[in-house]
Amino acid sequence: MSCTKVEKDVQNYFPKVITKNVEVLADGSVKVTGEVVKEGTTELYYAGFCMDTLPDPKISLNQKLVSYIEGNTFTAIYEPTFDKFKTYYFRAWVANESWYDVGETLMLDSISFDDAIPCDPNLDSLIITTEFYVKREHLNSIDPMQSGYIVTARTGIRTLEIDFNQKPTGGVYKTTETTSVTHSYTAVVTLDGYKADNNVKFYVEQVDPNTIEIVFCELKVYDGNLPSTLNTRFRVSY
Amino acid sequence: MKKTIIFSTFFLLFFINISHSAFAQYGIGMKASMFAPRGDLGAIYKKSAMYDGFIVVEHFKGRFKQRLGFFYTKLSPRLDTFRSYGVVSSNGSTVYPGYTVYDYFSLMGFYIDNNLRFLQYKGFSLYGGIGITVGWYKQKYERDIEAIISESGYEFDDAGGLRFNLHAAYNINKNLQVYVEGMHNLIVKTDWSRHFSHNAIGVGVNYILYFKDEKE
Repeated sequence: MSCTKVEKDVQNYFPKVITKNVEVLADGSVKVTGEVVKEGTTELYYAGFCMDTLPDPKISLNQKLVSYIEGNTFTAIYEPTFDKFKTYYFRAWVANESWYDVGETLMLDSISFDDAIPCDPNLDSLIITTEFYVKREHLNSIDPMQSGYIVTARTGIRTLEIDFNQKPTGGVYKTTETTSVTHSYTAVVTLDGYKADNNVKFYVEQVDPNTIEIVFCELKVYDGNLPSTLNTRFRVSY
Repeated sequence: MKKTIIFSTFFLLFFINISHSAFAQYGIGMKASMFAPRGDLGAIYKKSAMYDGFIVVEHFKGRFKQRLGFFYTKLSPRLDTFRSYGVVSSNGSTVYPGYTVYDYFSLMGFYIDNNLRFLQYKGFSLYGGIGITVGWYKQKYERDIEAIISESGYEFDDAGGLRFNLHAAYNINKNLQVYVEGMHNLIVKTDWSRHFSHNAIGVGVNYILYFKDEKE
């Protein structure tokens, strides 16, 4: 250490990063890209992104650490849990042995998905092989802090249950057969107690700050030995 | 225990030197230098002035010169605020932002330098030498890292190490000698956890108070 050259410009000790790009992907998730301008006088120990609904977020807010840097750039994906009616601010940051730098803030608003919905069921319909009319139940007291909750669309004899890991706001989600959901964009779907296929897309769109609309297309639910195909569109207010 | 050994060694050398000085000539001196921090200090602190006051003892008609002295310097930071961070590792790592404000860093200590004269031409002399130092440092700082630590205060501890110098002197008259000196000092905190190495270049003056003829 004593033989380390002393930098004339103190800024040479510090890493430098820029927030290069933020991009909304087709499923409503957001890809953020950072670029390392310089590492400083030691190698980089950490790199990542932060995000918040207030400008200039601190690096610890909704932090995404990245495990590798390709060339000078690094990326991360924020899952589609964005409120369409809010503005989000993203920043890249890096840290070397002693110091950190954070890039300028890039903002996005009205984040929503571009994926085309392959079916167009009527609102409040639950279509299972043959058509059923849906008597939908709104759930008005959902606790967003719960790790999961149930949305119910009910016919006289059919009940659709969706167990989210986190309150959905908007984006393209996928079903999973596990009851231990590890990602916010997955959900367990059951119909009358039977599990649906996993890895099937469904679509959540915000229609106003307190209401989401959920659309399933061609979701196979195994009711006994025979699969039922389900198309539905319904709204949940919270 | 380590501190005790260092201080005991230093003062033993000091008194041996004083007793030996009864057979030599001695005087006093002072020096002002520009302290150029390296090591752990170089990234944080600016160059600053360093001041020395010492007793100079010459043996063998000035071929061997010792200095027993004290030095002091106080450094100012290169920036008002440094962006520092902390990491919490629990279910994965989270990096928290913070800052550190360094108010000042002072370093002081006693030393003994032993110098040999390599060249002498008319009134000019060239000396090189090595010495040891023991002393203290004091650092005032403020540190705040989100979710981890918020503190301000002083860090105060012992330090010691080796001193290397090369200096060119000119005897203005029988009593007065002026010189320029370059130094590289390897100083560490006594638990070896921090390095305060630095270079210094300075000018000084020695005034010989007592002369004694010596047989070579």
